[in-house]
Amino acid sequence: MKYISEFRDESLVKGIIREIRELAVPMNIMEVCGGHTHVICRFGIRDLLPSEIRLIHGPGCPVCVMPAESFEHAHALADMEDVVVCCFGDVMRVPTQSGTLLSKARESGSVRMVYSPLDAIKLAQENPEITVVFLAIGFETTAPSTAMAVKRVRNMGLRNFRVLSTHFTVPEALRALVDDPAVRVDGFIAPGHVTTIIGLDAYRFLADDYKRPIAVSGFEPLDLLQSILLILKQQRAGKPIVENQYSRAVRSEGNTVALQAMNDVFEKTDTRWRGLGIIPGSGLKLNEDYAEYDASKQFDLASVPIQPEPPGCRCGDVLKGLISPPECALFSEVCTPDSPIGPCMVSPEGACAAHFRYRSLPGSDLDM
Amino acid sequence: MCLAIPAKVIELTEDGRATIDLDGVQHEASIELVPDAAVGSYVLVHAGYAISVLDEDEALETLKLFREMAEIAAAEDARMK
Amino acid sequence: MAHGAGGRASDELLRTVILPGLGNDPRSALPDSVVLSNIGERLAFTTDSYTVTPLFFPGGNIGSLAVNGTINDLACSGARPLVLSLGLILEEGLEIETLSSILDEIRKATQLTSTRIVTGDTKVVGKGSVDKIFINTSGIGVIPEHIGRIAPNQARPGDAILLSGSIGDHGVAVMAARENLSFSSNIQSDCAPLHSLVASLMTATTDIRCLRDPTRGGVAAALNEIARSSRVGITIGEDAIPVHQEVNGLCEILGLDPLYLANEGKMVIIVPSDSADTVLETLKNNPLGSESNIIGHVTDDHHGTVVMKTTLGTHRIVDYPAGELLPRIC
Repeated sequence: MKYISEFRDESLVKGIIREIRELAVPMNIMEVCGGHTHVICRFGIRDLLPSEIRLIHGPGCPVCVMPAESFEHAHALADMEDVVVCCFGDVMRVPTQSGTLLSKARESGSVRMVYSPLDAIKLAQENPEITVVFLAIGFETTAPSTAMAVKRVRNMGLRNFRVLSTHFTVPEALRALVDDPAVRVDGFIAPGHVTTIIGLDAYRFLADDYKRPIAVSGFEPLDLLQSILLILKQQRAGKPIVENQYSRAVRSEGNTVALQAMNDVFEKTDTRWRGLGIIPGSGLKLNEDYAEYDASKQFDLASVPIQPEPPGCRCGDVLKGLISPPECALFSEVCTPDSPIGPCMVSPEGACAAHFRYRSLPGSDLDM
Repeated sequence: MCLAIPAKVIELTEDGRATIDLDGVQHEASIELVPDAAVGSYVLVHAGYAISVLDEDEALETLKLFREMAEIAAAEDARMK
Repeated sequence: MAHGAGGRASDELLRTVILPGLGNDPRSALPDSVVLSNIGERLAFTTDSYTVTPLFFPGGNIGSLAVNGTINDLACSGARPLVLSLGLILEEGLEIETLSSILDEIRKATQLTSTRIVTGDTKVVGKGSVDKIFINTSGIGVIPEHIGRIAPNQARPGDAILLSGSIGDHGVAVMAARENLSFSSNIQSDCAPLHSLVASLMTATTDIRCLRDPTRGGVAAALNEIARSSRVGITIGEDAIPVHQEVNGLCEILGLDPLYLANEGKMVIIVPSDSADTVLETLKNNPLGSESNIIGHVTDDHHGTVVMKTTLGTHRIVDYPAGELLPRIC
């Protein structure tokens, strides 16, 4: 059992599709997670589904929703003497007023790509004369690793390590979406890896109060198809619940060690999501206990006025699922991965980039 | 949004870490978030940290369900011919 | 390193380090230009510059890359490589030992392929102007008389598309070494000269439509270029594309697609469909082609577009690559 190829087996797809067709009713199902968007596009899953089922994208792309201010702060820190900013590859190509973090990395070495916060800690350990700032991005899947890293740094007594936290949390964003009268979502495919951390109860309000069926899904094509089937079954039964399709990875209580670590290190904060506005309690920042590691407190970072989105950019509507990427007038005409206008095209996880990259054959309804 | 890969724990090293293997590629990851991971477990690894231990029985159950659906579909197709 | 300015120091660098490093006589006359005579009717001529970081990586280095890359570009026209030029731009402060190691690799690569470096140039520039060393090689090769035109615009509907082996090895090996990603694996760059592989192809068939080495931008770039040049469509099968298990593993970990990764020892080959099986057999008999496979065919539909049948049986476009490929975590 390797847990990958078994869940991509073509011979098993037919069976699920048959059942989906039998139960299909007109439904807007939101897949929240950028990782799910990627898989859906890469494997052409839309082409397998009956037309009544509309898969719409959600705001689960942490790079897409990062406000410009976070990028400007990262650049400002990298420009400071004896500071090196460490970040994941995901953010490095986002264009900002100060250029990209990638070009800064190539030119001056004051930005360094890492695969894990542990790499950033190692850099700080080996270079006591510089201050390493780790740009922490991502949702609850990634926040525990940041929390553990900060705790490790404290235990080591390392003095030259800071964190610039831009972590977001998913449940608050989902609440904001269902509260938005313009958003029409009938069911949710919940992000599997976030849920390994936060557990099933985090979404209970969506089923109990908002009566939306939910399936927590894995990331292989068969997982997504089964999740769609589970949602259709719930819809037919008229009893929305939070169902765990990803049972091989997700425990209903989540990961209690990770949740404790996050609790120890972070506190919730009201945070602006690019395209969605301020969502209460949807961000994580280092709490008072760990303030000495908080780059936003330890450095003088000027606040950056909120930039309007470029004219014609409809990333906000894409992130809320109001339109699909091809419905934006700029999509593929002006806004392409080579010359991205908005964040949904820049990040490989962004809905627009995924749609462009993995578009279907010309002539299908996904074509430009 | 979260690329986490299933990898096998092949050795527990010091300091809360383990050597993990995916298809012959080996890496050191922290297992501090999954204290019950053991040599031979499969774990989901994200950003250098294992975040969950994969349950083989559950995985087999899920696959079994897919196979059952596939068999029903195949039987239907055969009946239609 | 004041050696680039053309004076005594330059001459010293040339005669004590560069010429001996390449296996040339340090006392050679070194004219401003070299004369080539009686070398054949149809010549292929190419140039490329090499700026890879790090300079040494598992399975290769900038030196072997600079020789093999240019030989492979010549091979894409069906040409047997003859002579190369070597242009070196060195950053002030580059260690002589590093330069000597690179020259050694260049010498070995030329000896292995019976090619000669017959002319060259060396410049030393200020610190920061280049990243240690940039190399340019130009190459001249001879195309056998009996071979028809091999070019990216020659593909026709119905032609078969073959790949001479697994993809992604070089791209992943270099990325892992460059970004200090602490993954240990046996992944090696596939850097290799392909002129003899191509020569054996040309004994099996005289009608080869296209040859393309999928370097920067990977197989995706190579196929898109052919589709556009030839104004045809291309369809490939995901399951037919050879990828080493370890490369696949590292790609899963880093969120990369092997179709977009560079290869330095592979060839995309397009031939009329009736010679596909013969060509495949010929490729497989060569150690550099043992993992060859037929991966798709040229169509008259969706001109200019490459479409892939996924492992699930659905279809999606394989886009032209955009920008530098980076690992992702989210």
